[in-house]
Amino acid sequence: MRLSKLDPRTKLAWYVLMIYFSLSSGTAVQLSLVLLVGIMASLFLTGSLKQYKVMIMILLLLGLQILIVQLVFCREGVLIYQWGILKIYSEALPLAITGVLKASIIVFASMQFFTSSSPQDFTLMLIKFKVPYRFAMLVGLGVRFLPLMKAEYISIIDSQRTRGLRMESVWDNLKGIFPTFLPFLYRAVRRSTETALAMELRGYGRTKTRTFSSNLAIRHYDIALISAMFLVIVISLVSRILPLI
Amino acid sequence: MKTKLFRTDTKALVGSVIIGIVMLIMMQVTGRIDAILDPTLLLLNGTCWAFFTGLIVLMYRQPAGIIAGVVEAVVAMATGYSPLAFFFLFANIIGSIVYSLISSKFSMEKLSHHILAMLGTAVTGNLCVMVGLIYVFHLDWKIALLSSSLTTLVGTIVAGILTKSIYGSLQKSSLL
Repeated sequence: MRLSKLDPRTKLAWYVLMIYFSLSSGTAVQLSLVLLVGIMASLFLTGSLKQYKVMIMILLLLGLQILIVQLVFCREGVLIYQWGILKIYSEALPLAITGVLKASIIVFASMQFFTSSSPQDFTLMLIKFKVPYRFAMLVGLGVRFLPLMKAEYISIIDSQRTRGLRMESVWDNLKGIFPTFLPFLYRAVRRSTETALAMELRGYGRTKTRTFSSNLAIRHYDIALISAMFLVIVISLVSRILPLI
Repeated sequence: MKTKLFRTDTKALVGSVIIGIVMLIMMQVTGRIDAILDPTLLLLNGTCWAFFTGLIVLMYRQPAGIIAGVVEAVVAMATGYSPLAFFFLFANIIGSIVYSLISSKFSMEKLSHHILAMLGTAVTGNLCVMVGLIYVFHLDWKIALLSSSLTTLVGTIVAGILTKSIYGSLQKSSLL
């Protein structure tokens, strides 16, 4: 079975399951297991983990940040090192590891879900959730405009540079926010007015419903997978709540 | 003075998506600067978030504010921009609704109106991020509260002033 054959609703259920376990699991072993299951599922369905290469770099930087924060602020466990006001406690490292694992699962599951379907699949999924098509179709618009707006921002930075704006150090970038951001915002507002007018002239929003070139049909294995995933969540919730009663 | 809460014309819907993308790009730019200057406080990022949340609601009302917030949070999640991006979803939606509710009660012509609306947005939004800091980063709640309070304070004042001045200039430019 390939990932593209699964219904977006099944992928949404999988995403909910991963987020639930990332937030409810408390130990590093449990979290590692959840992450491993997620990676294995992705490897099994897509046959490659290439798209997550960029995630490793982000998570390494993030892991370093979490470690520093825990080393500086953690006050759990026993004091193992003191240098002036800096106190390092024994629980800092385990907490940093669980923090990194939780963050990794959330980032991994989010990338897995949002990159697994086409914008049209997401639009159709929203239509199935009874979202009016005028709102559902904005998914495609967002995907189409993201690279365009990025290119526009870069072109504004370039044109401000040719006028003599320095953008070399962090301080320069900080000072350069306003001269680049304001033209970007005004251009974006003008562009949205023009796009809205063009869409209305093509009949967007004239009727309450519209037809699509493709349709989503939930299959038996999708129903079985969604049911199984919700059953796992229910069993997990019941096993947590029962001891409290 | 009571203003309308909702606006569902095409211009508002398309504008919400495009300004949502502008918000996302600016959040990434300020996020990178914050990562070097103040990685735990994210003052610039928090201010940028509050400013855009307010501006979009003033420009296009609801559901545009919610749509822009969802666009920003979803792209942040899809690109792995932040592990807290999942909590941005709630922060953006709740913050936007709170701004709408407060701003609808005022004329939004005075700076105090903008500061008051921004205070509600910044408090609720940063509360959601605080939950993320505690659950994901395992930060002590006191540290998370201190970090969120500082971001709220700076965001309320700076974003309040910025929203008033930039919304005013957008109205004068007749782009809206």
